[in-house]
Formats: sequence, C-alpha cells, structure tokens
Amino acid sequence: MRSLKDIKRLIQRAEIHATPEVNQAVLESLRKELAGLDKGTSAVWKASREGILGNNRMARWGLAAAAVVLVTTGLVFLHQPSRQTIPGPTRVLGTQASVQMLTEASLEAAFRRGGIEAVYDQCGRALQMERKPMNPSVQQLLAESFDNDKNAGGENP
Amino acid sequence: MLEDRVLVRRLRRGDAEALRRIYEKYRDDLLRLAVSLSNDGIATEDIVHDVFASFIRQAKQFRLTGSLKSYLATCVANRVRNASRAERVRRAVPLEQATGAVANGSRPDQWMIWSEELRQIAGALALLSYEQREAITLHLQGGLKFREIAEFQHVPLKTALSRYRCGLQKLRSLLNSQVTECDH
Repeated sequence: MRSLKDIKRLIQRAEIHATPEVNQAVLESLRKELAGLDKGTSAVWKASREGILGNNRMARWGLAAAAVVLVTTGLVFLHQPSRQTIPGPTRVLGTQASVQMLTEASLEAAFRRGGIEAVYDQCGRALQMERKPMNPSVQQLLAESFDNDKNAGGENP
Repeated sequence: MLEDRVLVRRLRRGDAEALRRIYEKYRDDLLRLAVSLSNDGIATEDIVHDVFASFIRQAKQFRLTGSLKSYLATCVANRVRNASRAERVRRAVPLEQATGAVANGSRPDQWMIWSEELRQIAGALALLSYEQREAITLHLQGGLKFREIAEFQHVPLKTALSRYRCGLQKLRSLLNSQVTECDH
C-alpha cells in the first residue's frame, strides 16, 4: 500500500537519466544558439547601419549638409546683436501727452487761444510727438526747441 | 530565487556558463514533467530542448518576476499541450489507444533513461484525465502554486484544487490497484 506522501515523493523525485554524450550535444547546440543570437543581433545592427549610411552616398552627403546647416544656424543665432527694447514708461508717458493734447478741453483751449490755426497746430504737434523717437538725442531736442521759438516769433512779431 | 535572477541577468549578457547552470539545474525536472504530461509518443526531449532554445531567444526581453522553474514548467506544459494536439490530429487515432501504447514503450531516438519508478508513475498518470494530470504534475514537479495552475487552466481555484485532489486519489488507487470514481 502506497501512501499519498509516497506517491507525491515518487512523482517529484522519480529518477531520470540523460545519456552524457547526448546531454553534452544538446548543451552545445544551446550554446551555439546563444552565440548565434549575439552575432545575429550585432550583424543586424551593422547591416542596417551600413544600409542606411554606408551604401548610400546621397544619405551620407545629406547628413553632412544637414549638420553644416545646423551648426551655421546655431552660430548665427549666438552672434546676433540683441534687440534694444523700448522702455515701457517713456512710451506710455509720450502717448499719454499726445492723447491729452487731443482731448476736447485742450483743443477748445487752443481754439480760444489762437483760433482754428492753433487747433491744427496742436493736432500736428500731437501727431509729431507720437512719431518721435522715444530716446531723442540732445541735438534733436535743441533743434526742436529752436523751431518752436522761431514759430512763436513768426506768429507774434 | 536570487541565484536564478543572477543567472538570467548573466544569460542576457550572453554568458554561456550561466546557460549551462540553468540547463543543468532544471533539465531533469523539466524532462520529468514532460514525460509525465505527455502520453502520446511526442518527443519530450525535443520539447525540453525547444523550451530552452526559446528561452535563450527571449532572454534579452525576459524579466523574471516569479520562479524560473515555474516559468519553464509552464512553457513545457504549453508545448506538450500543443504537441499532443498536433500529434492527435496527425495520427487521427483515439487518445485512449495512443495512451496505452506510449506510456509503456520507448522510441528509438529517445536519449534519456527512465527509471522504473518514473515508468510506473507515467503509466498511472496516463490513465488520468489530462486536466488532472496537468494539475498534479505542475504542482509537484513544476512547483506551481494552485492559483497559478488555476490561471494556466483558465478555471477557478477550487476547480484546480479539486482536480489535483481527485487526481491524486485516483492515482493512489491505481497504484494500489483500486479504482475510484471522481467528478473532475
């Protein structure tokens, strides 16, 4: 009578022998499989690399040209002078001044002061202010003030 | 377990020594499992060889999450299933006829020597249903847990347990020259 324990042991430990020669041959074939796998992988990679770059001159030249373009573009961007940004507050002040000159009250005051001519004059100056550079040089400011003086002298001799 | 992880990592790098260690460590267990599972004249040595060859091919992508023995045992069981199915179709003979013929015989190209105990066990296992045989051998020889066997067989855990117990009981009766009836 076999007990369950005996049967389990029998199933787990029943002996099996493989002949050493054949066993060695099987192991050798598995080793070859492993070696072939490594070679195969490197060969495939090499073949694809050769296929893309080595055998195709156009691809090689294209790659070189693309590299040159990239490097040149990079250099151009690096050496480009940085743009000067206009300071915000100055622009706002200038805009605000020209807007104030064109308000109904200021135009009415100008009309009372010198008639329609004075209104046209104020509008012209407001537009001029809008077109002026934000950072005028000292010479420009002097020339402008001289012009204003001349105009003032011409109108009121 | 830890040793298996190291061996698999070395195998992934193409280490032939690691391959030899894995092969020698699990060869007998897998051969025993294949012999116990198959009963229709399929070349169990070829199946074990194919499992190892396939394992080598997949080694680079393989990530060991559980037991290596269980993984290889599952591979063997899968291949035995497929080979048995193919053999049945090829021969077009009823399974019952094939069973008796092969469990006691040996093929000329067979390169492993079965012990008398294994021959006796294989003969008795051949009389069980395939599912019972699978549950018993995967648990006792493949080291799979019942949960894993249930997943493998696509059945609930209780069914897998029942197959194992009933199969073992039947096996005991067969080996002690008694026959009992079991549902599963």
